[in-house]
Amino acid sequence: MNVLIVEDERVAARRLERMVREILGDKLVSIRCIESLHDTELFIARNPVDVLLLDLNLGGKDGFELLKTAVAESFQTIVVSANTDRALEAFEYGVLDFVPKPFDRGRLIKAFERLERVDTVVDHTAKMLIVRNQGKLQMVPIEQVKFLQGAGDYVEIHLQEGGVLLHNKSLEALSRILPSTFVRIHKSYIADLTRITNMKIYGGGKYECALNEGTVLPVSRTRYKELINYLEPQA
Amino acid sequence: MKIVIFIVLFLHSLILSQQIDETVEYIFPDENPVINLVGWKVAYGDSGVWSSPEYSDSSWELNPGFGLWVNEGKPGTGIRWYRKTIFFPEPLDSLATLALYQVAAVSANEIYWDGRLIARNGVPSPEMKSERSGVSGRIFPVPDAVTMPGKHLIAVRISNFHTLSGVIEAPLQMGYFSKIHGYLLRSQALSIFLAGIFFVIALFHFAILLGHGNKWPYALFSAFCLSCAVHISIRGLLRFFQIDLSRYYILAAINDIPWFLMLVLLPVFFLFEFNSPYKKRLTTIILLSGLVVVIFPRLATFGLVPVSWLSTFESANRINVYFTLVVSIAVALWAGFHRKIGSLSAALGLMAFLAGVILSSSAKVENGWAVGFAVMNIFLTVSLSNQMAYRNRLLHEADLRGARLELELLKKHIHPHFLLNSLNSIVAWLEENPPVASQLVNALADELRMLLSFSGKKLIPISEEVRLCRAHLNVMSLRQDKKFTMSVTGIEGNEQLPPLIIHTLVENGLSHGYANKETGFFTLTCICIKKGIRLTLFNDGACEEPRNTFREGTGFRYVKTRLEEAFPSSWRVDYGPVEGGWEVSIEYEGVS
Repeated sequence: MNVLIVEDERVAARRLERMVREILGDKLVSIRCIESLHDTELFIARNPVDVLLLDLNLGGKDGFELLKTAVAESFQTIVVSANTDRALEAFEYGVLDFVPKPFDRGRLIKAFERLERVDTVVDHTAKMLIVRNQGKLQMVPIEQVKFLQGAGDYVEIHLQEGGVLLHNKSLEALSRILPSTFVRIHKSYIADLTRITNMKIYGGGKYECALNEGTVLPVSRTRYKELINYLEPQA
Repeated sequence: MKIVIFIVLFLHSLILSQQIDETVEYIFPDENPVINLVGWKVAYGDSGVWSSPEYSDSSWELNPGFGLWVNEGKPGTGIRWYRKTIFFPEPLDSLATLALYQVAAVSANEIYWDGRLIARNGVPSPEMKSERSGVSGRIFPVPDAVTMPGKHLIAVRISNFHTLSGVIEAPLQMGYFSKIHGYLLRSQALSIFLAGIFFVIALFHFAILLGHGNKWPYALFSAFCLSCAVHISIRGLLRFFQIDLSRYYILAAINDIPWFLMLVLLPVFFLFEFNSPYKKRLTTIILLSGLVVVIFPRLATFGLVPVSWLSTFESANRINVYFTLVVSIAVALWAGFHRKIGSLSAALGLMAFLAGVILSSSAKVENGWAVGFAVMNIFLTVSLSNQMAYRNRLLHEADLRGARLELELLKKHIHPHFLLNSLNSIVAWLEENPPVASQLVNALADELRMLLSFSGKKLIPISEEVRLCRAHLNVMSLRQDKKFTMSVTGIEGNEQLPPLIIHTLVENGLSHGYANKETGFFTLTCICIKKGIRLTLFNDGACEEPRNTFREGTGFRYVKTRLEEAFPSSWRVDYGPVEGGWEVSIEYEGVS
């Protein structure tokens, strides 16, 4: 795992680095501490990053500027900051977790667990997805997202109005930050449960579901049962 | 029946024919409690027969208006006679005594009824030596024996050597003794009542003035009330206390001063209290018109201005009263339009007074003006207390605002994010190097103690502020594991500044351009300039990025607010990049 720490206070940065090394152990491939926003942007462009640990109060300049850029990238962002009053806002932009300063080891471990486990309890979720569209950051409100389809390294975001946007994160990564109504229905699909109108069963273990606009998506066998359980109380 | 009608018609025509004789006035004492006797025939000189009803005064001059004057208004010469024929159409009340009431009639006079001397006030004489001056406010009973129905001649013999005035201001009045007496008692009671009210109100507003020193328009209102009280008191003194006529006219002239102040102070008070436009120009006009209407009639009584102008001045005086009231009402209405507190009740009160004045002069409602005056004062007191309550509320709100600002200051400078970040660094040092952690705790405690000691102060010595900045740099050095220092030149020890200004600028300086650097230094320079102090704060932070955030930041707003609060509109702040760093300079007209 490649970890990037963006923190302008060296002492705090050193502590974070120590802890990350301990927590990840052998899984850690590289770790880097950066003090300025400018350097961060350069680093992200040229190096592989899996997790960004970001201090929101970066040297006076609003860390949210960097946050918006970061969440559009393929890696997950964990905010580590004393500005707890802005936690909710950070979640809405789509960060994986918000670790309030000062923190202990346990809290950081929990944040890293959320990177991998699906069943972690999520108290706040993204209200928008930020994507890089033709070099510019575009904010897509979650309500406008119909479903997401994995396409190699990218994810296609299918919008209610019919457009398609590409997100740098994997389907796996996005499923961590999306609201609970967005459910993995297939290896390559995440759909908004509230939009599913009916399920179809074909022979040979082929399942499909239809969304209220008429789109039909494949459903995998393992997900089918879960989906039925979800939908039945409503039916 | 027909006979009755005939008789009535006959009597009526008789009355009509007799009314043509303009020197005869019909008097109905049963209908009018107090009758002004005006329209006298006048002759200069002295003769024993002039008191006789048989003597014909058809060649005498008729003196118009209610006032009498002698020697063309020039005091101190000779003797004059006045004659007036009255007619009682019906028998008088046999149980009541008729009386004549005289406020004042220059030095001395004698009154003859059908040739018979019935009253004497002082001793009139054609020579100065033998004249004795009378007193003011006399009631003379008319003997019942001479008041039978029909025609009567009243003749007044007047001499004037002891007064400076040549004018008798109030007419001779007639009525039943009891009615005149009752009328005088009522006037007297009203005078005492009004004078008392005005004294109390004047004292009240004077007390307010002492309490709120900066509200000088209250002095105007206080002076207005005091003038009213003095004028009414002197007037009462002249009318009801028998003042020697040689002093009467001097006192009456002195009483013009409070009268003038009454005319002027009320509208001027409203002009300044409600801060109306053109207030200075209007004040000048009000002062001039007031002077004219007060001084000229008085000059006439001393013979310095033709006495025949008196009636003109009387109208001018009345018009001036209306003018001042209309100006006051206009100002109050203007203020009401601009939603100034208390203006509406002031306007209502003034209108009540105007209505009272109009009623008592046109509809002859006795004391209408006094009732209007009392109503106005009630409304004005309500108006002023409304304004006072409003000001108190503003004051209270300002206090609250100050307290809130103080809280915000503490929140801004000891904000949770600063403390939490510091705690986080302490935890980090505890793991890495515990002695440094304890250094950081001490540095943080130093800074917090100093911040707390500044709270509530408007100005602090710059040297104290520098200590705080150094404590802050100490904390930040330990937090960032860098070396921040501050050097100071030009501080002599007693220069002052609102608290946390340099601290705010240092915080701002720290947040720019120290990434990847090992050290940072700040230089504070203090120079005495022409009208105060110039402080320059330099720091060596790299300025590769634009600093828009400085201009918009809450920190800079705080700096501006505190400077404006301490040195209203006599400060300036400049900032910008300089060689090797960034510089902010503050100039203010502070005490050095």
